[in-house]
Amino acid sequence: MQEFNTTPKIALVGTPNVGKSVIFNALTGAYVTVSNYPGTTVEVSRGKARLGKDQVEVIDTPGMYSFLPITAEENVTRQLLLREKPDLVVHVVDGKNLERMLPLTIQLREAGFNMILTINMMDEARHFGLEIDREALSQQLGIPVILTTASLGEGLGELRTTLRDFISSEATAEALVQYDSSIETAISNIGSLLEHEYIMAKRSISLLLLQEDQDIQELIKDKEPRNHQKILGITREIKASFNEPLSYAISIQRQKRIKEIIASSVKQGESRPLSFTEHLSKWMMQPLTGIPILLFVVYVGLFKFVGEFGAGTIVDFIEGELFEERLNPWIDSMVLTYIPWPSLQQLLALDYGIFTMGIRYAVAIVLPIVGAFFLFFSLIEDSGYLPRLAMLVDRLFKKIGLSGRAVIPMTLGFGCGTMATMVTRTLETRRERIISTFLLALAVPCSAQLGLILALLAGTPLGLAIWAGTVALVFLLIGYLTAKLIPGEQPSFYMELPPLRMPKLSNVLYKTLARMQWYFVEIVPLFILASVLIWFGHLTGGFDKMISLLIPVVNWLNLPDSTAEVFLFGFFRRDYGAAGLYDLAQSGALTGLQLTVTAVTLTLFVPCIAHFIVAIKERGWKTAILMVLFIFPFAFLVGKVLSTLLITLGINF
Amino acid sequence: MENPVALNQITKGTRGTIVSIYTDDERRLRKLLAMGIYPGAQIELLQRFPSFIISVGNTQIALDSDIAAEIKLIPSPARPRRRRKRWRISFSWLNMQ
Repeated sequence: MQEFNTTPKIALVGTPNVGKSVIFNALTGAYVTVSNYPGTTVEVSRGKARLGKDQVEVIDTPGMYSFLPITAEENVTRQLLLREKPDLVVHVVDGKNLERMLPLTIQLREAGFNMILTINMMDEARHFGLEIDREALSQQLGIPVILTTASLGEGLGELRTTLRDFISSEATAEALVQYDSSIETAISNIGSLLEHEYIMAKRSISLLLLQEDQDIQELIKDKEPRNHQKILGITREIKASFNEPLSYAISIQRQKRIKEIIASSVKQGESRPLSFTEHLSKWMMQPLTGIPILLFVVYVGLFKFVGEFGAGTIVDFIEGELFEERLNPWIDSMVLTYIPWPSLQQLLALDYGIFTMGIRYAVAIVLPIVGAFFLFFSLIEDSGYLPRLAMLVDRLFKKIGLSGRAVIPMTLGFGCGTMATMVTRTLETRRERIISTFLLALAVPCSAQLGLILALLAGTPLGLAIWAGTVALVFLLIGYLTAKLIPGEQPSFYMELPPLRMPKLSNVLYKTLARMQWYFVEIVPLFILASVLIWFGHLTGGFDKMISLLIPVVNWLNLPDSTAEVFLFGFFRRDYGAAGLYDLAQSGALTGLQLTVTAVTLTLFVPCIAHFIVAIKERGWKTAILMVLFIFPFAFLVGKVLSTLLITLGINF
Repeated sequence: MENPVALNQITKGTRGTIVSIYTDDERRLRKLLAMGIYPGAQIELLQRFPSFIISVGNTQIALDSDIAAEIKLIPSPARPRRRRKRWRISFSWLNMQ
């Protein structure tokens, strides 16, 4: 065994959703979030693994479709490969889709990395009747081929052995594809003009230059001052002789070669009848069955689990039994006994104290609800339902200027608008990002609000229906108008639909905990801050003044004075306001109608502090302020219209 | 050989071979190529509404109608489909009295 001077590096490379992260976790023992949704690894993860007696560094890279990058993530991966020069590149592919996975293998071979091919998800490939002759494939590609089903641990032992055996192998570039003769001539002409020594093979650089790769063009400009113009000349010349983009011609010729490789190494057996999950998948995607399934998922997941179980059972237990009955009276008495100053007593305990209100709201009311939502979301995320939902709603979302892709941030918005606003980054156009940020701030209630509102209005089904109908109407109507108002292209929609899978419990639990932890770290300081601000407001009288300013506004909505306090809390956190509403409803101060109007206004109302800060970060000051300036009066206006309408129609409950 | 038709013009269940992709957006073209949608690929149209779903190899991909209009294919001659047993509702009992 050879001694290494520095820790050798292994990079895992591959298309999104092929199981790179599962292999990474198995090799390093670290845990990275894994999901059944294309493109969830945005950051690069690193870990240490032991191969025999040597330690190696393993790098998990963002998903990459092609060595010619299209997205920012792909660029990250390529730059990482070129900068860090891993000793071994492990290309992980999906066994059931070899034909469209091998182009990257060929490109990586052309570039000249020391690499092995890991064909993963072999269980699914066998399910489709595929038989892979790994010897033949290995010979054709000139690199070792390993078959694995990482999620079941199959083939991982062999993968480790192969990694150990090949990590110090010499890197070789191989031209696996003979392109069209004019392209080959251009490749060798450019190759002979390149004078600098590059990490990538010259053939690979020439190919990327022919395909007008901007990064490589910059690189050449820098490294080849003498021949730069000549190289560009060759590219221009050959480009003119083709009708279609060269990248297109090159991929087609590469694909032809792959067809030959596959024909000699993969056998397609009899396709077996559709399994239950494939039927289920079909039902999910056809409107006639898909919409009832969606309603069922929303009813069971949001209404029953998050609303009744999370916001009902668990909150009643932690809030009622633990805090109200035991903890709060104890803290109050301790504070009253040992702290002589009334103002400090109020800061820590009593009605608005850090412990008795801030922490109680955070731990006893909000956290159980958010936790229930994250558990539900992680389950549907891992099952593969979200891409199917995206395709189902794409047509409707196009009407509000979004594409089906936006269901991910929108669904997540029902959990936490702050987190969802961060996820809008994955949308393709700026226009989509603005519209979705706006709608998240306006009309998507977060789980804390949602859970409380469902719990509050559960007793009045009519109120619940009016609330849901009004918010949905505002969402669609304002979305439609915003899409008309903001210029820009219609977004396009294309998305791979991974097979439905049974979520793994450990993975779901881990993800839920990680998200709850993120939420807890974000939320508790803000709850404490809000308590301090309210305490300060009380002490100085500013709080009472603000309430007295709000009273005419709430009276305008035909609401009693006491709701002014709820709206003021809403400034600090949206869910905080909802929790205040919960207290108010418990005391029976509101009629069903008033509760509904308050719930609608509070849902539309300005986002919480954290949400607002993230909106500024993601979209800039100007956009974020404009949004709030619209949302603030608009929420009260809708409340007024709804209240007047219901009273005029004589609907009272 | 039949003439090429756009993906949004064929009926559900049609199989065929892609012959061309016309788009003025090169990024989109490259993404489609990377997803396995390229000339020479065999596909089957599985669903048209609310979005187009095609199967390429062993994967299903959802596309909107704008993209579907840009993909041209030559439909393969219809293969005799295995007849599936269907539930048949019989009304003969109405006449039994």
